Amino acid sequence: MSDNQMTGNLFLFARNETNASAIIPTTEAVKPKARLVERVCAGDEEAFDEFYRMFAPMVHGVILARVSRDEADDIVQEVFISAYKNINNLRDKNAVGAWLAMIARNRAAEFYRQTKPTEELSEEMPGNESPHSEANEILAAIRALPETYKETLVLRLVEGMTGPEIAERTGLTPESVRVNLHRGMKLLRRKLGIEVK
Amino acid sequence: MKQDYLWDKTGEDSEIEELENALAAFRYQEIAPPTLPAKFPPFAEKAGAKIRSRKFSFTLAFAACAAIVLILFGDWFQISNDKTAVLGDSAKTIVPQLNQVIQKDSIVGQPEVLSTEKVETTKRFAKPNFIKIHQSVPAGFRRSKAIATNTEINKQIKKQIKKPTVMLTEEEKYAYNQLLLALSITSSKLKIVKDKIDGVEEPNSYLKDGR
Repeated sequence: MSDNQMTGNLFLFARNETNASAIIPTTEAVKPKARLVERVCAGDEEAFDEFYRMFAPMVHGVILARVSRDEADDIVQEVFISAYKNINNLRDKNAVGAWLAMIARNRAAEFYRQTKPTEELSEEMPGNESPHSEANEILAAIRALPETYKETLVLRLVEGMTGPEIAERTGLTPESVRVNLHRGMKLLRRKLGIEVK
Repeated sequence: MKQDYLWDKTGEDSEIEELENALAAFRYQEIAPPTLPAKFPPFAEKAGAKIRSRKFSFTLAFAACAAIVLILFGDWFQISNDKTAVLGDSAKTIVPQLNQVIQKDSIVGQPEVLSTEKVETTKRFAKPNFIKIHQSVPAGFRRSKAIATNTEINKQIKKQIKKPTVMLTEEEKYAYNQLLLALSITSSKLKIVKDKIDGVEEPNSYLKDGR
């Protein structure tokens, strides 16, 4: 399948209105999200649970790109409580993913402002071989990347989301996600000393 | 096919798979959603916010209307300025009458003692009773009893001044009253707007919070 075909099927960017297969999924993909947000606005707790399950991995990824793993879970919860309180201020219900990602970024930044600078104990201390030491190294390398790349890469490599899912949840365009993934991956390889085959 | 795996996990890429496996330890572990704060029902907040914003926009609209009415009245009064100019003419007729009264009552033999030097009338807005009379008294008479105790003269001057009031027509009186009313309403509304901007809450809202 060519790139163009794939993008057309998945992301419905086909401008040709006669292409019904490209249009129908758009309405299907966008409307349920907005409807879910409306239900959350109306105080439906079940809807909030669904909303949480849908967006929690994305929010976790955005936070993990900036904050240590131990703090990330707490901040995820804070983000959702804050979102619940302010969800009525959201004008475009379809942009809820981008809005949540923004809250998550702000919360992560706030966390750094409020906490005193501390140093994480290294898991690579002598005699303390951790099974996650390699993972920590990789994550540290990802965090050292520019903002735009590290978030997308964490969502892809840590949270296991596909490119289209990242685009849908974060509100970024699929093109941006694709570019971020490839450029980020290139930089990450260089940082980790992996030779490009 | 390598790029496809990075994009949508189609095909194979051992290198990316390795990274994924290593980083899977940090993956989000599903936990229960947070307990929602009961005292923050978003719909209630929204309703309050809507009412507030609607009230605010009504206030602004009313203030704008009042300002337009004021401007129109201002123009109307300016146009009717020709009519109020009669005031100046009538004021001029007072001067000889005043001189007569003053001469008759107290300062006999000194007709030059008091002289009306300047008569000012407001032209822009019709204030019929507003007439300033500046008295100039020669230095030799300033401390004399005649001048010091001439309260009667003052009273008579006031009476004389009050008499030539400009007669406003019914329409003009009505317009004048409306203008005053519009001014008072505008000032109260502007105060509300100012309080809103300053963040001063209305006393009713305190009551609500208190309950």
